[in-house]
Amino acid sequence: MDAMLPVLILGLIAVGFAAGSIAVSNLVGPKRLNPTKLGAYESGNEPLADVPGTRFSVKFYLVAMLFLVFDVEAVFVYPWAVVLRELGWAGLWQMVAFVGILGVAFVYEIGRGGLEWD
Amino acid sequence: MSDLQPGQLAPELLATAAALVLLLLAVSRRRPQLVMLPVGLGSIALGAWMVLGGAVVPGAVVGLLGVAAPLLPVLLPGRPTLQQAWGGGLALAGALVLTGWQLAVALGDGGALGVTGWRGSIAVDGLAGFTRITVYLSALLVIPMGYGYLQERRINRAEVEPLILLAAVGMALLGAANDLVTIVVALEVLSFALYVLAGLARRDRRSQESSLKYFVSGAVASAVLLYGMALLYLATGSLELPAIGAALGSVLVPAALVAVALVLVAVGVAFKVALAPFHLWAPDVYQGAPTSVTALMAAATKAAAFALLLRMALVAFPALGDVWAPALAVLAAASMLYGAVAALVQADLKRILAYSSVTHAGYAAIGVVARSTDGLGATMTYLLTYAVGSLAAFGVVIAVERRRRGEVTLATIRGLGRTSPLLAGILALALLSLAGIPLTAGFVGKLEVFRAGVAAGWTWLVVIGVLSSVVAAGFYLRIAGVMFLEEAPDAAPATGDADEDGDDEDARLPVLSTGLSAATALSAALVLVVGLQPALLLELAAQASVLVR
Repeated sequence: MDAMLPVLILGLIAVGFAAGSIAVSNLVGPKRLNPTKLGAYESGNEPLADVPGTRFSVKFYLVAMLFLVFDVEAVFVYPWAVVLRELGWAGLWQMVAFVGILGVAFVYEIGRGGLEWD
Repeated sequence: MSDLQPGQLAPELLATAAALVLLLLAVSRRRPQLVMLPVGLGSIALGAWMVLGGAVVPGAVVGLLGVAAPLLPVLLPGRPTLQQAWGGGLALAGALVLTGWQLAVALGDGGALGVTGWRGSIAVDGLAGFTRITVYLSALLVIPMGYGYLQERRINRAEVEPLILLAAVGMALLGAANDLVTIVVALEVLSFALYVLAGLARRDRRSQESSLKYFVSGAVASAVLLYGMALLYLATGSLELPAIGAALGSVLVPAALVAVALVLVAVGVAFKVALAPFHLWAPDVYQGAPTSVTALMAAATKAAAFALLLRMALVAFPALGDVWAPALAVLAAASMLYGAVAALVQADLKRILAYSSVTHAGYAAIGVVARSTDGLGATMTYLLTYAVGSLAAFGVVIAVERRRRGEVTLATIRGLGRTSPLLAGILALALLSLAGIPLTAGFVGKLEVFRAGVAAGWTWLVVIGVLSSVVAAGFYLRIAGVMFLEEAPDAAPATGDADEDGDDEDARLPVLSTGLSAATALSAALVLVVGLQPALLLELAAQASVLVR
């Protein structure tokens, strides 16, 4: 517990700093609002509606799944990379097999047009 | 690392590799040899290396599949779905050969049945081998059965065979899984593949319903099961089933925690095998899914889920047998009675078969309740006989569905015995087998299960089983009666208008594809062979009734 105390303190300071900055700038900062300032930034589109339950294109989910695939891969690869020397060649080949299977999935997704937006 | 022996998972590795290759083939467009040639050459090299290393049979299988891979696009040019079907079928045949090889080695001199491998995650025992046989055989029969059917419904996407392969891998792995993590992974592999397969007909409302219901109820069941497993790990401190079983035998384990874990695991597994109060998803899912997928669910998934139930009950929870056995007996009795009675009032053939699968889950559970080596062998035998019987029945349903273009109800098959006696004969044979009439496979399985139940002192359960068989025979015979005793609707003078006469002409034509005929005939032949010559299967079951404990 003692060993983790500095980490806890650092975490509290980080959260506190972020919350504090936002709070102070909200309280102290000058606010001179006009319609242009409240509009969408630069060339952003005016939002047409924010109805609850707005329908998203299913393509976003495809991208999200693709992201998940690589995310999970990264989760596996990081700890593997730390202990690679102890795992030796067997560990290397296991990761090659794992990445190979993911690679097949990726090639399949590209081949099926998963990365084409329209 | 030396204890990771690939041979112990040879069929699964082969089928997984084949699924990946078929996925690549599906996206290879006009240049299939870009995928198949390297794969083929690599497999031939690997096979030669394995043969030289002493593993002759697996090496030969890998090498032959390597030869077959580049030949597929050459022999079947321009027919990608047929290439996929042949590829999947050959891979499953290879997996079946490897399973036989595994069993032969394990049962032969110097072999070991009942050891663990892959650091305790895999059991090399009779249950694993038997589940593999049932699963790979069912999947192998389902592919040719479904090919023409899916083609006609225009839902034969290239992903079908890889998904069937992956589902079979998950099921076979579930039969061999010896720790909680492997069980969950195997269960999810098979479930995800089946969710997609159930929703294969995306434009069909029933198929959507089937997929969604299966997904939601399956996910809930998985969550419940997972929660139970987490508590089990908390209580015993081990993930491996034999260690859990040993820990539960000691008095140091907190009883309340184990009780909750037992209930949660039991509910989760009962959901997966569709025992009575947890079967509600089965009829809708079975009805809506494409019929070949339904056949796979009924035949193979049931065997895999029962392998999980057997292993959980006999390896992880033997110390609590006095607690779960009566509860499971009640579930089994409820399944047998409810399934049989509910099927009586159904009109759709797929729903009837779904309720019949609930009934059969009850019969198979008798062997689990018996808690004996005989019971283990009886349940394994029962699952195999049920698989071949239901495959033959679903094969005929597919045939009728293809001919009549729509749902197969009792009205659809009226007079089938006149218009196509062979189909009606096979369906009647399959139903007799499902009803457990002597000289068919179903009788062998049912007799074994009942015998194990009586030997273990569960006479009341067996009596209920016999009663439910009588009720079930009622609806099986009703189907047979509709087929053989009633006139075909077209032949009846009152209803015969011109349009139906045209259908009638069509109905007499055997429009079956070779694959469907061959697979259905093979299932029916297996029903007969096992029914007439049960000694071989029973001998194998007796020798293979070995569990890693």
